[in-house]
Amino acid sequence: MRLGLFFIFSLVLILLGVGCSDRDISSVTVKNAWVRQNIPPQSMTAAYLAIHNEGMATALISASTPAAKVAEIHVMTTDGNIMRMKKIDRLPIPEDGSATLQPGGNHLMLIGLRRNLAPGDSLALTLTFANGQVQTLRAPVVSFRDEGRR
Amino acid sequence: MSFAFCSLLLLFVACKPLERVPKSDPDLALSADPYPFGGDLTLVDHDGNSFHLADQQRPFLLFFGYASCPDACPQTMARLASAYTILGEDARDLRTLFVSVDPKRDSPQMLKTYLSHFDVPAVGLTGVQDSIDAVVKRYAAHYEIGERNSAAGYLIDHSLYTYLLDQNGDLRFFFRPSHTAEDIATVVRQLSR
Repeated sequence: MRLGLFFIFSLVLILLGVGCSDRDISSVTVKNAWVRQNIPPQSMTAAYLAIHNEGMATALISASTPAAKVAEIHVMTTDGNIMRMKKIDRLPIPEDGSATLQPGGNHLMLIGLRRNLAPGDSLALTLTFANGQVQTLRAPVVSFRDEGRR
Repeated sequence: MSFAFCSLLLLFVACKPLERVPKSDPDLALSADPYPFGGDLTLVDHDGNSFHLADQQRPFLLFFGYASCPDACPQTMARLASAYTILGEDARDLRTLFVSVDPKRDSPQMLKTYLSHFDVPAVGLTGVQDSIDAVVKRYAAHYEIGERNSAAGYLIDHSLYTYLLDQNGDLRFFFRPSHTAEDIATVVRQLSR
């Protein structure tokens, strides 16, 4: 009887552990990714997206795309009337929270584009998170005209 | 406990409609008198010609930026393009001045190519560093080299106001990034009254 209870208790603990583990590993979803068209001869542009986290606090630690040599995470702060931009190594995503990369704010800066990004095009973005999760998604290229209407 | 919950719920429901009311901006009024800063400037336009504001005799929107700017400048240009669309015929005389704060990288030709991608009748302006700095100071603006460790080279931190100048070159309004294309159109229309 005592052995049976111990067995059930252990099983519950294991299942709980698996449940927590699942929650931690696949807790992040990424939506609404898009990329601003670039202006030749400039070979850089910005990408935007919304990250939702239903697990423990984590962080976006890297981004990459076959369409650019480098993808940097940039944070934007406004100091009075002055916009300040800084490259960072990790963008914190709070527990059960979100992080939104949007025009006028934080963004991914795609540098060294391997092709011009025109409206109608799209590119693959791979995002790596501190919890080990890796997400690859397609981001459409948006024109300045459509961006102004957003 | 349930009474407290119901009270909170009622308070939430009662307050909800207020959020749907658009916030009016009491500041969307053209200044009757010119601001004591801004005004005349002489730089080089994107065709390589001398540009003297006092000779133009037309209204302008003006802002400071740079062609490699990944976010704020294209966003501003996109917003201005929407404002021009809203204004339609009311914007027939209105031009936009894009004053580069990055003369090392922004040649006149570079600015011309950059601006041609936006649905904005814009003139790119550049010049020697001292000339640009004098204009920046006159408009109470600011810029400085910021991040230097980007693969893109250096990034520039800069002020974000868009200035509205009347046909005399006097500063009559300045827009913050929070002002929408509709806000810009609303103020610009007051110039012709």
